[in-house]
Amino acid sequence: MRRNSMKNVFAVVAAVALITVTLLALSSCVPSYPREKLPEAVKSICKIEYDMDVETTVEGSTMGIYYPMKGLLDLGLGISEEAWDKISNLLLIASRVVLSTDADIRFYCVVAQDPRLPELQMVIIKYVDDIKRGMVRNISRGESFKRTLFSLNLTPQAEKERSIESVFDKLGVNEETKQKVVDEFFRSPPTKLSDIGYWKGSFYIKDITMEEFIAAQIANRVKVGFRDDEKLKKQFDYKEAEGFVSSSNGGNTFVIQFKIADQQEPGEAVDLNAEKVQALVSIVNEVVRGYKFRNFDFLMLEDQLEKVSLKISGDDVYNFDEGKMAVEDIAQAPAGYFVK
Amino acid sequence: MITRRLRMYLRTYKTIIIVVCIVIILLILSVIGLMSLESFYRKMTIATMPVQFIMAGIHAGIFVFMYLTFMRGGFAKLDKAPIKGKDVSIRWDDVIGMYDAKQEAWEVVQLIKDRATVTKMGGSVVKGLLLLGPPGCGKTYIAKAVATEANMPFISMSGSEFVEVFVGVGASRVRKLFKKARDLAFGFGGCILFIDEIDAIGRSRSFSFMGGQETNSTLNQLLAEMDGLKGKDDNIVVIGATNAQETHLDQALLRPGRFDRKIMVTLPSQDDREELFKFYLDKVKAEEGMDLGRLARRAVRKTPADIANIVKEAALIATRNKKKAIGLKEISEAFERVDLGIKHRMTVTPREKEMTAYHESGHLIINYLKAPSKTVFKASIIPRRGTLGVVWAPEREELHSKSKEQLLEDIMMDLGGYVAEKIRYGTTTTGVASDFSKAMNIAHAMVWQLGMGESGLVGDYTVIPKEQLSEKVRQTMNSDTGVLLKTSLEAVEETLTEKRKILDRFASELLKREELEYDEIIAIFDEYGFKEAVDDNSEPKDKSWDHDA
Repeated sequence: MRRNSMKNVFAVVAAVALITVTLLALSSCVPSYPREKLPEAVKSICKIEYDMDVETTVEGSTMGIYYPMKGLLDLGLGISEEAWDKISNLLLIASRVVLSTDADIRFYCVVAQDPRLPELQMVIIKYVDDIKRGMVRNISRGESFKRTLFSLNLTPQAEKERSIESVFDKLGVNEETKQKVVDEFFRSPPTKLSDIGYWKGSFYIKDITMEEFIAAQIANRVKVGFRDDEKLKKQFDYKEAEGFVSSSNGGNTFVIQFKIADQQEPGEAVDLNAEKVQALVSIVNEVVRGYKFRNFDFLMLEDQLEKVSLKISGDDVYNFDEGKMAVEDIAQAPAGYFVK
Repeated sequence: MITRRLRMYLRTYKTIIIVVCIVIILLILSVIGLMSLESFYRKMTIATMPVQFIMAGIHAGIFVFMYLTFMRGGFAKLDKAPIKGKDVSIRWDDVIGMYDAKQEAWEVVQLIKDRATVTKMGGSVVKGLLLLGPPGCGKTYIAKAVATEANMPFISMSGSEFVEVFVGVGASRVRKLFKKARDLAFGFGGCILFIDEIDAIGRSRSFSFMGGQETNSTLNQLLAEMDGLKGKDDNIVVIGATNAQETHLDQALLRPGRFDRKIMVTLPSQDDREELFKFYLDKVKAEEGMDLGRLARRAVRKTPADIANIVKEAALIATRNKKKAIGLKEISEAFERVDLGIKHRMTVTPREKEMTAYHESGHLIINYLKAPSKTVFKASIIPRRGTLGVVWAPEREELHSKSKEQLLEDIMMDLGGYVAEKIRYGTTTTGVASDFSKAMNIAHAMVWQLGMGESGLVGDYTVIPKEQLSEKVRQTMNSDTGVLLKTSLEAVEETLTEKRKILDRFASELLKREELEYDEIIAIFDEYGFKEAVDDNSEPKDKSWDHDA
């Protein structure tokens, strides 16, 4: 009697469990933020949960969020603590939405401006796979941070328009004509990652490609590496670096342009050029390996100060960390680059 | 009744029902919770579910292992499934013999069945029934028959199942057992609780600080539960069974109101044994016309379980011998196997064998001629259980007391082997050691305890410490013991010297055939004109008290 009852009990529990699992499995198929309602979803969450008014747009597989925030910059033109909190919330919302949608969103880009000073903007670009990997601890928190592109720069469109306007001012062109010409000839969708921004009610956003993102990330990591690493900081004076992809010459080339000056003390016999190249190639290797990215043929390191460049094959860069080859072996630089 | 049954199920499975409800509620809440998650987190949670299930399974496995290993299946776990009366399927007619016990038990069945009438008349309902008696006599069988006839749920437990090393566990199990019985009684109108080997928890309580608290608390709980039945309208009857003496059980357990009835389930009588043989032989293929009376006589002091075992052994022997039916020979062999053990093909020297033959022949002749209360069924010089030979002579019928003469017969029987060796060889062997030990024990008890010495000293002198006995008394006692042994020895010597021819004949027959069966023994004695001494004790020797006679 007891055994039969126990069997019945187990049968009931098993049936309920089965129904539950089936319901869950079916429910998991429905996205929380369908493709067609994606921009509205971000806007409504920002409004409801954090009382933030944002503008959103989707370009290809990139979602853009513009957030005008009073008090973004403090008096020293730095980002205020309150602003960081709000930006963090915005990033969290963006991550939640892009993870729970059926739209093919690979990147999202947050542009924040202080409405009182729209000529300055903060841009944050994140790769969606990095968010997932960070959540499941597939990459560390530090690595996740390194993979996020942060930049605080002049609004590119503002910069562009200002120079045009100064020319028109000198020519005495009236305001109406000036705006008409600017609209017609000088306001076009961005072609580079660095052109992304928001100006006068228009979102300048592009569909970010993986190559662009990686090139920009390399430049970002070069900046962080040469500024934060004690040894490199001592040996070199980092000024600037920029990364982009060039598809000319019959293949994809990561071009890293940099201005990094040597700080060698007189009498020291260390080959700083080799050290610099070693550091740069290591950074590129780390990035491409991190994404298992093989879709590039060359790496071009352009030293803007010395006016020399170094071209390395993609395979050599990818396999650089295996230590099979020395920097000298993989470099195809003009003679004399490594030795002054 | 349906409402009562439903309520009974609710009471019985209260915990399970609550657990199932909680599980269902938790599952529903989980679904609601998961549905409220964003799809990515929901997918992630569902994706990790299999791993979580596996982990939960592993944890549960470890927990169960620890639980079973270290807690012996739970401290107070009681997993006793009740059996419905009709499923026990042992009818009253299946209980053979034991008429008195059956009669008493039948009354109890009637009382259980007709509880309403008894209560209406103001009578007290039987709460407990205690079955006492040696093992294998059918106590459990009677309990099962009671359950079948009363057609009530039957829960069977052994007393040892209550015993645990942890204090309080046994008491907890008793509580649970009675709770279950009450639930069943509520649903089915009654319940029979059978506690086998009740002496494990029911022996007299000890009130010391040296342990025993666990047994005490278990018994206390049993007493409380049995008493507790009085105030309630639950028709629960507790049947206890034990091999222990009634005096070994706690007095509180035996008082009316707990075990109201005590039924002695004793060894079967001659008639019972005959019936038992008939019953068990009917279940197997046996030859027609077997003398069941003779088998019953041979099975003196055998329990029903022994008789069942003998028939089972006989069936195995018949199968091995490729016989189609069990015959007397197989049963005889089965008796032998059960009583004497398996034959042992030990290497024995011819001289040893011959001396054993004379030794056993001595026992046999004295047994046959001097011990009327015994029947010689077999003599053998095949080694068994460490002995070189054996004469198998069970008592003719149950004897509950022995006369001086019968005790002397026993002594003479034990000395028969020694005397035979001495007469034939002028020397003796170590084979007499156990015989002497037995003879000495009997003689010693006769003098020291039973007042059967020739000096006339009467009383049980073993109760007095030896140092308090005078040297003279001790000397007298020892002298009396010696006299008994000497007298017996002389009588044996006289008999065997006189019957030397028969002694030689039996020894030679034993050497030839190694074993002699009852019929062969009788035939040889017949040749010499000797009839078996018979004393059936059916009538008192002195009839002077019978004035009508």
